Amino acid sequence: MVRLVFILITLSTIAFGQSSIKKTPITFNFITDASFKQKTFKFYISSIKLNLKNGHVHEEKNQCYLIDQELLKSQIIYLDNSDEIESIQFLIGTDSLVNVSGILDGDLDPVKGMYWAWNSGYINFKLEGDFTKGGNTYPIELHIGGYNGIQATAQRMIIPLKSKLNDSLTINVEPTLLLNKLNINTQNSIMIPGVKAVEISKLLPTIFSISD
Amino acid sequence: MTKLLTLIFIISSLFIFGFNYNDRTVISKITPPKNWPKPNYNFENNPITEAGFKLGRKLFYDPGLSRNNTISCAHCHLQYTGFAHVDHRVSHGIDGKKGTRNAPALINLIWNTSFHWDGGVNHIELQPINPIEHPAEMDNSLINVLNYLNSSETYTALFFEAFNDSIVSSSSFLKALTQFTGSLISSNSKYDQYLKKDRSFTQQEENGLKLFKKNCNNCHTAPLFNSNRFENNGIPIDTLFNDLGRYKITNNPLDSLKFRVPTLRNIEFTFPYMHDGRYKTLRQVIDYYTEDINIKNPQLSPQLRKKIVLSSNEKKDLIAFLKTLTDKDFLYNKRFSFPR
Repeated sequence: MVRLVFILITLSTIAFGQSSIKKTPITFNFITDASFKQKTFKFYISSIKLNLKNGHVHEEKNQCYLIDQELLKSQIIYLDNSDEIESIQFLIGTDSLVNVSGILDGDLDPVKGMYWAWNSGYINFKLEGDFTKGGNTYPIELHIGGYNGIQATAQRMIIPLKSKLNDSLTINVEPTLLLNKLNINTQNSIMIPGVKAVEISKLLPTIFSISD
Repeated sequence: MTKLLTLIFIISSLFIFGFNYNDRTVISKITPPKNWPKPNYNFENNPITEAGFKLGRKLFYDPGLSRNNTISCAHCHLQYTGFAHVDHRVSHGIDGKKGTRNAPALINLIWNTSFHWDGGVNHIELQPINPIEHPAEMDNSLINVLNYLNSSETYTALFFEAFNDSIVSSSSFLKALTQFTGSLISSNSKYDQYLKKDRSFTQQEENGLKLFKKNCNNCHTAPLFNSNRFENNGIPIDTLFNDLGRYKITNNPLDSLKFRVPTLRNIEFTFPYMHDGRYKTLRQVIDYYTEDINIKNPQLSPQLRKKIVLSSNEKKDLIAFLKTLTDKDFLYNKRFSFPR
């Protein structure tokens, strides 16, 4: 019986052309700048969608990745793919469902330092370090989170690709692009959900790019 | 002789094996008492086993979860007082440090949609991280707790028993605690027995029930005698704490000074009352709602804007009714007590 099921699965895989699915590595490439002395930099990426030339959309539901500047292994994600990629879409942060689902493990384990216990929810984006601007150095402590209604900070973004890639993809991450947009006197420290966190979250898509 | 020894060995092995097997089987889905609403947490992803429940209980009573091995969950949540912190206005934790609120009673938690006086915690499984990491409570970290548990042979064996994995993770640790705290169900008070017609009320209690339905049930709604809402009951802010309640969570000015409506089950024993424990007796609470409340306060909860008028005797009747919500089976249930 088991063998029959196995044969059927194999046959249907061949018939529907699923065998051409392969894993495409998506690498997050951190671009640093002398103006910023980074201490901690990590963020969640979730609900990744690859829009393909053949019209298919490869979507990963309920999958969250914690990309950590200190952990090389966390900077490469392998995604199912079956054709040239026309665009990649993802959520910077975690969706609201993840934030109300109780204890989760893996990248969503609260021991990863990306969970607020007193006001339940994930820190979607954490950036800490010293930023030098106009001869002055400012300590930066951005913990951007909040999932509920007007406090929601997860940002969906889509990056179209100019050249049609299918074997690998590199996404550049450049935190100074964000820091240069901040009012450095009022937006250097955010530790709670709210209006200020939402304002900064809207700037987050600007730090991601693909140079193809 | 050897045969006899072998036989004894086999029988005892079978006994031990059988016992372990029973400890691992799902004991029961929590069945809500008749006419109660459906619980918000149903153990679907965390089925209760005897082993998991007992492990959760052991953790609940273990001061090893705190930074210096002095404070357990039970330190502020004592069974005999409905798992509340009796006799202290605000609860105190590690090194005698004081918090800013009175530790709430742990009763019928699986019906809650949020936790803490300000509702900041959205899930029963994740609540324990707060007292563990709070500098005035246990002042530890989740990672330290996991290290402590993983370095204990007793605990790794118990976790294997309960979750089939001897490596203790955030998930197994918090789920074990939830199997215990989620089981703390109080549904056998005199009031419950009265509803089932197993016991009758005195004239005073009957009258108290009528007064309660008329004046209190809107917020403290039977059968749970709470609501999952946050209300401003008008008690003036204590400038010692400047606690704005729900506002701290939502940043919505309309939520300023709103707090969770707590359950009144076992209220006789969960004193002192209010989020900051400012009232010691039920009489003081009722005097506040009937005499001292400023019904013209524009922020006051709409349910309280009509003055509640009670005579001195009616206040006594109301208190007599509130005492029928005491559930001795719950307060003295050995299953919930320190495991001896």
